[in-house]
Amino acid sequence: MKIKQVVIEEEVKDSEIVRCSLKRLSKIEDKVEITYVNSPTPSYSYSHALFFLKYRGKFFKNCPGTRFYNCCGYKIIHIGENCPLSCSYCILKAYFRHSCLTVWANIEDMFDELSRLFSLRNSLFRCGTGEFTDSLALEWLTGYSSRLVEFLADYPNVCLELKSKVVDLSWREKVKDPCQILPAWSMNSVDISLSEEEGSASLEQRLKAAKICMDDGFKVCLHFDPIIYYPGWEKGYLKTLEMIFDYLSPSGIAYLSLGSFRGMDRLFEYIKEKWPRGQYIYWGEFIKGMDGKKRLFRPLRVRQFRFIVERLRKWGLDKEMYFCMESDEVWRAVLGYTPHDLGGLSNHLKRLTFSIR
Amino acid sequence: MNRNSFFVLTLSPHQIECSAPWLFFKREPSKLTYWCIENKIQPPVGVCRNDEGESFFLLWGYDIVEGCKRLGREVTCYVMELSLWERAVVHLKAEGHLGREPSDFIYCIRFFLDRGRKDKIESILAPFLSRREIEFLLKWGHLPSSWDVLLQTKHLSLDCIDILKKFKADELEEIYPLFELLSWGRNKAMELLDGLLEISRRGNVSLSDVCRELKEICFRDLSPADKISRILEKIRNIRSPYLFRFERRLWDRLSQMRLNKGWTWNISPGFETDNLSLHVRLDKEYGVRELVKDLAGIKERWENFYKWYCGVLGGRKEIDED
Repeated sequence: MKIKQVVIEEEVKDSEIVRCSLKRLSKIEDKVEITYVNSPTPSYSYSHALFFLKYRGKFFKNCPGTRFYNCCGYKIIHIGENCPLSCSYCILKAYFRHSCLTVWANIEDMFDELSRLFSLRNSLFRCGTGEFTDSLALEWLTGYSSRLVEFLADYPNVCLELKSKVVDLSWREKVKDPCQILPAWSMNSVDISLSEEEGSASLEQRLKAAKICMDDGFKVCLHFDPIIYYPGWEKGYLKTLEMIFDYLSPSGIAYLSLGSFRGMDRLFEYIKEKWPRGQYIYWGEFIKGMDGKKRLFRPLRVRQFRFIVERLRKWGLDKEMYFCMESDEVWRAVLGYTPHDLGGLSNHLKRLTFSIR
Repeated sequence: MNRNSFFVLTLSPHQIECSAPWLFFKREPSKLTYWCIENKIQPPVGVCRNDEGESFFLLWGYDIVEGCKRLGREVTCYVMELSLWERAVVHLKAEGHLGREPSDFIYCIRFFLDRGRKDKIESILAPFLSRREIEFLLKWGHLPSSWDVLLQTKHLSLDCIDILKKFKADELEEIYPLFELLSWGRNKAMELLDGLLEISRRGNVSLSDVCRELKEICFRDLSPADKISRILEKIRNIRSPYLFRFERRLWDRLSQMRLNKGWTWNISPGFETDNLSLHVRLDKEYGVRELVKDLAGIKERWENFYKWYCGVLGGRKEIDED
């Protein structure tokens, strides 16, 4: 996405994030229209605008997983909303009421809130910024993750996952302890990545970046989400798996998630409307899940999960694999156990995260 | 004549042309209309003249003109000077209340659209229709006009327009007979259209072939409701063949358990869990003793069934395996 307009809320116009971003932007873009607004909510739907606004809610949130499926208990550090990348399947398009690419510019307020919370030294926090936006897609401009990484150095009880589809490793300069940061990349079949992930780095670029991080002592995370059903999916996912095996080593993986393509009716309508090439929604045989979202009929999901899990197991992964929003039935059918057997998924992932140290 | 003025004229009803394109609503004369004409207290009708000033065209008051024709009376007319689209506006102001359903306004929508007056439609129709109805009718106005009859005969609901507009012109031609031959309720029509659209976009079977098969069902010796059920079944089969085959086999296998009539199975939504529940109503005739006996009778079949059910859903068994 090319940024042609920047909308800044008056109250945050002097914030460090805004000043630094405008400076960086002026170096690469000649004509950027800057507008100052008083409205506290993003109410415009400009497709080439970036909003710097003040966030007035809690920056630290629970993942909005429903109780009907097993959620990993991920905690979100809310740095912004929407994403400059254009993945056809992106659930954010149906999740937020607005489509404005937004950065919460009052980072100092965020640090205040987080420092109060993270000072509870007896608690361990596994958190990330890649739920409501891509963690790194705007890093070149805002340097948000670098600031966050620097801030977290004082809190060894916190591990931050930076989930992305781009390659930006600039944040590494600020890392004191690599165990505190989990760089993470989304994976998909080669075909889906090529046709549906506009604006993202190629799978190869992502894996090369992951390799650099591993070599630097970081553990990395991979996320196969959404896994998509289409004719020839086996070949497509196999190619990706082979690339992973070529670039990475299983001992360098902190954890790897698998999630099937799913979404509200609104997302399906959006894809039909805006992405006529998005053929996969016509190939999948969908049911309405317990959470009201459409998802692939269970045996077809299990078939896909099993295909990927079997190969990852042979490679050397085991309990590092987990499902995003799946039932006990699916866990048992594919992995042979349920989150309960692991002592709860959230605890299990926390153990994986913090035993790194 | 000044554009902003009008004058009153008495005309023979045969001098008034009553088939102009802006006459969207025509009411037949009622007893009250006749009584008024007979007592010479009928209100004047509105007319306008063509450019040459030779013919008079009706703007409102069709029932009075018709009544006068039948009673052999003359008609008192307001003669107005109006542009073409203004004639439609004046007609609607006087007679728009006769429209009972949004579909009654489709000709009116087309009239304004054809004359490049889309911008005026919302304000003109606001007294008669909701904003949503106007929005849907405007979209409908872009379908071929042959579709209007389906709307007016209630073979198809206006709510379907958002799906209909996604079809290409040649696809619309293919699906038209399905609605011409059967009258569809809103939800079932949506299901059919959604299915057809998804099948056509997937592109592995031709929409034309699918519609041919569906049309065949329309001509079978079945009730309209049964025809609709068969058509939707066919659509589900083509759209989601694996899921369809599973559901079919599931109900076959459940019915093979020959349960008491009062028993009903409840299955987890979307088959997302392995849980099934059986609901039984106990009464004087059917008590615990009968229930236990029936359960014992299906024990072995149930165990086989449940193994199959969990096996297929867990991806360990094929649907046709036992």
